Amino acid sequence: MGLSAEPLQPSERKILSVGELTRRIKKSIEETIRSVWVAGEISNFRPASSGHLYFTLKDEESQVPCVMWKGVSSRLRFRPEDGMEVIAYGKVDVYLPYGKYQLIVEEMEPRGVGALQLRFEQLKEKLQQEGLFDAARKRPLPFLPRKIALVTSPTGAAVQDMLRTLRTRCPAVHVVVYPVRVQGEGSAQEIAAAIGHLNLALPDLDVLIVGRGGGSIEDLWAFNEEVVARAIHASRIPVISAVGHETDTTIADFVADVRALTPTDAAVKAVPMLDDLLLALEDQGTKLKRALRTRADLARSGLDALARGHALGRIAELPMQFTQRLDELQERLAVGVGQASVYLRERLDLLASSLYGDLPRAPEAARQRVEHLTDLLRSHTRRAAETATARLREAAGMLEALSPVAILARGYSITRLESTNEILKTARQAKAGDRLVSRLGDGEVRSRVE
Amino acid sequence: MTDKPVKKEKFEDHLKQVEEAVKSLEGGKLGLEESIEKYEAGIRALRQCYAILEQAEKKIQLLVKEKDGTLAARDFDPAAEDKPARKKPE
Repeated sequence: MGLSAEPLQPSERKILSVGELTRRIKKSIEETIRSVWVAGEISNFRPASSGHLYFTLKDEESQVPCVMWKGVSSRLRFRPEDGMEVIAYGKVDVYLPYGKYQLIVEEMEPRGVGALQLRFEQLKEKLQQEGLFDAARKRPLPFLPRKIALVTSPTGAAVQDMLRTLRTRCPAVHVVVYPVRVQGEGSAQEIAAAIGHLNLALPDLDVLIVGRGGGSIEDLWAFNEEVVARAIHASRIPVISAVGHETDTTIADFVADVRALTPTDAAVKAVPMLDDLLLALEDQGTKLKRALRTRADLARSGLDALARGHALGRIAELPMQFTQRLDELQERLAVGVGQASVYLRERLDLLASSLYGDLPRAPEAARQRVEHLTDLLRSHTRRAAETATARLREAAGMLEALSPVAILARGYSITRLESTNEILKTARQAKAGDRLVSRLGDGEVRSRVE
Repeated sequence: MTDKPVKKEKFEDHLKQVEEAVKSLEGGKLGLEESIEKYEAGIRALRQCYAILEQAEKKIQLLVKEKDGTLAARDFDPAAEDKPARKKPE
């Protein structure tokens, strides 16, 4: 265990040049380390105008200079920044002229749970600045779409939820499913291509629903890819995004014209309730008919007023000329009411028949409603005519009570001389042997004076 | 967004016409003849609404990409689509 060290003989000394030493180190490093994954924090980040990136990876203990060539850096899916924790993959390279080593980084990704979040935030910021999320470019959905496409997986709960909801709410819509993979490598490209393809192949589509059911952030990732965002942005057909659960927000949600919280919610947003729609139509139909009926009533009451003012008033004033007046009035009124009611009735019949012609397709309830209203409307017209006639009859009855004919009906009679047709007003006018004609309420009696 | 979308008869446009007809009829300022014309216009629009609902294709289809890039459609039953996948593991 002597502490003495024998000095080496000069002949035994192995003397290396600096270059040789560095080459040996280079060789040794390259043989033992080759490619490695290294975790560290980025510092001294210096992007060069050439496109190469220079930076240092460091931790509490040490640091290593790094370079990323242009070809690699252009494929990076995030922007490196000082202070960012990353995992880098690359080869250790010794740079002979300076005797320094560095890491040639071939792949790099943000480290830890925040990695995807970071990519998300960075893409969101970029697209936002480009104006892809602008509220001004968001299009309203059609009130009642006729044709909807679902860009989603043809299997699984999401497509079933959507189809069931669409069917329940509004069966009167044509739905097509464009099957795509919604997770895994290449799914984003598939979704984007589907959106583009539908715009070209089916321009009559009213709405696209793009989405999938719930899953992990990785499962939903396709909807955070730029290619999907660009496809949604370029779509001429309005797009509803429907990804995952309420709590999931994707880039697709920001670009879409309408964001739905879930696939089911997308279906709710896409179509109105058919039942509500039918009720609204029925309601409008009812209002339409009620309004016309009110208008027609108004016209009829005008007619009645005419009848009262011009006819009955004067009848009371001119009792002497009753028969003729009555005849005249009756004729005039009959013509008046008759024309108006016949005219209205014709129009209504026409409407009714044209209604019946096309309405059978409408739901039975609505059709019955229309029939009922039409009947009602018709009976109103008829009733108005009947009322006018009845009123006339009543007035006529009053007048008749004052007429001689009516007096005769109460038991009186009028007697004339048959020879002269003179009315017998005194007994003296009649001589024995004269033939008389007596007029009674319902006929004549002939007799001879004795 | 640049080219004009295919012009389609819109349900909401017809519905609006019905509502307008109701409104002007209820306003009570029209003559009898005008009222009847309005009424008929309203009924026509109403029938259009029903016709649109009636004419809608009530289909669910799965699109299939053809080799030439066009899309073919076949009837789609999502429940049936799922069955083979579910049965396999059994």
